[in-house]
Amino acid sequence: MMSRLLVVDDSSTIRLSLRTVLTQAGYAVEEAKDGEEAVQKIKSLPKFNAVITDLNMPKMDGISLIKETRNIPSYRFTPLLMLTTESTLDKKEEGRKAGATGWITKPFTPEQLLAVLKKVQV
Amino acid sequence: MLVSSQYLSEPMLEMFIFETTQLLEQLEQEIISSEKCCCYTQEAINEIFRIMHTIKGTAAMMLFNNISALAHSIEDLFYFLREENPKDINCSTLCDLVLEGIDFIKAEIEKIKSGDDAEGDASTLIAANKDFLTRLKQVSLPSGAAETKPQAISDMQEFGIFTLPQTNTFKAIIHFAEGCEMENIRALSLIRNLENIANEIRYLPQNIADSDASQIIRQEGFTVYLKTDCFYEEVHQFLMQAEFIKELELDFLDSDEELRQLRNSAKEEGGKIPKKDRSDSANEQTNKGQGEKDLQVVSVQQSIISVNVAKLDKLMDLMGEMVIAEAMVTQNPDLKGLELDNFQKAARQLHKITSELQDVVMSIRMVPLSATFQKMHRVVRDMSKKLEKEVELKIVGEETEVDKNIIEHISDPLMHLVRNSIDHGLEAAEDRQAAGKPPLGRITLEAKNAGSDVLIIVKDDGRGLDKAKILAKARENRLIHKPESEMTDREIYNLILLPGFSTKESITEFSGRGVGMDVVTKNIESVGGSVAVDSAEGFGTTVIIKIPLTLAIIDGMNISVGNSRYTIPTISIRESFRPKETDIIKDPDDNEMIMVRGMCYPLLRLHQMYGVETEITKFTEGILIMVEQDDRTVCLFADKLLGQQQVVVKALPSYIRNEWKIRGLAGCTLLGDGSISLILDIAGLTGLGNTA
Repeated sequence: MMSRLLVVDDSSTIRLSLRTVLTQAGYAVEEAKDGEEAVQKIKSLPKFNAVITDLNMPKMDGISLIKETRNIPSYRFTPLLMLTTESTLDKKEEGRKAGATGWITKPFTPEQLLAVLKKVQV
Repeated sequence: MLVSSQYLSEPMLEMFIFETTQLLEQLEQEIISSEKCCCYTQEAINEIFRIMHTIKGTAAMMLFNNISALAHSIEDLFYFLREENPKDINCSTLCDLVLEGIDFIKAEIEKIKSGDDAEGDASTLIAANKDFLTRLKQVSLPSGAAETKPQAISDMQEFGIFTLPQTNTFKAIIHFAEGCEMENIRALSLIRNLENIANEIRYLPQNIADSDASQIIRQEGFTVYLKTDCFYEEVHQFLMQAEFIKELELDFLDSDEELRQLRNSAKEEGGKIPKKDRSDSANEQTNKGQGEKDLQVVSVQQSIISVNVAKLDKLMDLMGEMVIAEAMVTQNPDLKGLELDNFQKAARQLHKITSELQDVVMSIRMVPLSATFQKMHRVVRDMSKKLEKEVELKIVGEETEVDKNIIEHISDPLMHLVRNSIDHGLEAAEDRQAAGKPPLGRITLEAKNAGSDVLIIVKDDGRGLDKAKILAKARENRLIHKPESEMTDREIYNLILLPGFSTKESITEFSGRGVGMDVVTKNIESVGGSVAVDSAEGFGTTVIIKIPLTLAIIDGMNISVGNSRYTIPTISIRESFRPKETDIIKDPDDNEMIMVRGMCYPLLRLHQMYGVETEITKFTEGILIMVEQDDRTVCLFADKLLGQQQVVVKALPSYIRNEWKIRGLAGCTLLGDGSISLILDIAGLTGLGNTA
């Protein structure tokens, strides 16, 4: 059975590569190019099994997206993963407080990405 | 993500190139406008930081480490600017640093595009960026506290989990109101709604798509197992929203054992019954093409797609073939002499549709000039800095659209013209003040539509062109074919467009690379355009580029000379007429001229010019067509007019172009009867008339 994932990143290159890797691994992938579009999709489409989001994005950043998504009852415990490059502690901490489930540091390998998804049981 | 070869694909690389190029252009504009107002606003810093951040991330993922490292160093710089907001930054140095970085990445992208390895060495640039950052820190943090903010030190751990997800499992037994009918459909729509809040759904009976499921639901109720993040009250409330619910029994389950059993039984059943995990139902929806959710999915899809240019070119080619095919059908020789009312009606309809289709295909290919124009900001910036001239670039009408192919051909000429204007046109600030002009030189770049052409005007308020110098130089290079006293100012100015002409004695770094205006002319003419120069000494120079909206399909008038066919672009035709023998006069050089309404025009006999045998050599038997281009007029003598039609311009084969160098031909086209017609290049012909 296919899990549906929402991939949020302002870079179309990153979105394409995430889609490539995740589709090959058997996930159904939906994309959003910023937090605003992601929220819109989360609210209007059938529930996603997990959301993978970049932090630095125009319009609405990843932290606000995580906060907003966590406030939706049906996403109360859904895995929300952040892609970070500034793997400084405060960013991670900020994400954790906003309700992120976990983090992956860019650049990462496809295997690492899939391992994280497995860890959060998606 | 590191893209290993297993995943790295051509489309990914293309996407990377496309995205990075766009980001760099955006970045360049941001930098240049920041430099202009001599400060970086908070938004600009954020924007630049974000762009560098994205480039760093994508480049690292694609394993272009030099690009990534360079982007990282610039990102660090702007991170510092964003966090510390230091005063008195050396804006111009910062701009130089970033622009050099942009140029480096651009060069690397070009290498990647052409399939080479991007292996440029960015270490000096990175060192310069780091240097600048260190100096900034020393100035703004004088206390000696070197590092207040932790710099992006990469963590040893690549990923981690804060909390493991948890979900609640519920079991709901639902009874619908008696007599509500179609219980299975109601159950199905309930499941569809639940998909919005639940992670996983299983239900009994499983085969609710069948109508006999209604009977079971009526008797035993509809049982749903669901996993969700929602709490009990929320699920209860959600379910009660559904219509016709008589009874709802909702239980919280401690384990998901029952649900797992159902999941397994669904697996065993194979694809026979609709499996009700969410993604399967999504598939089913698309398969059946039903339901509002389908519409919903469509509505959030973006309305703009990007298409490979090669496909557009192909579409354009096919469109051209279509126009030819249409002419071949409707003007088929087999139809000669037949009265075919219905056929004519159908043919008209076909013509209407093909021309509409053509308009659409053309409009798809139209691109605004804004990107090309915006690039000039960088040119102006670099030039004015190097030459120490203060220049203001004004852009007008950048939203004007032209064909994609044309855009590619005018970028270089435009750059050349702008460079020329700054280098040769604009005076140094002191000279300008001495001449009573504002010290700030001004260059205007303007685009506008004019009929089926687009005009691009490059104007400066510099010293203007020196007629005497131009004439002297032209004389030296034997470019003058006409008494100098008879030449108009415009004709003199336009001499600078001729091959082998360059007035600037010394070659400067920017504009004089041994090529002159003739390269601009050649480039523009290759897309069917023309260039004209006007100037007023002391007040500036204006270069006007006239380019057709589109190249491929034109309205043409077919004419015949002997057995040959020629096509004249309808747009150039002023009139056609049969002259009286007495109207023909000869100039002292024995060139034929014709007097029309008191004006004298040169005459060109096409049969003589192209050596075609024809019986019609008397003006009273054939026809004269007056054509005009760029204010120059000439009368062409042909046997007769054949009729007007849209023709597809095909380039002449290169061996014909190179071997014979026939003047006055723009290309060729295929006529309806399958014969080939040569398209006359009016600009070339009128030029011949003048210098003959």
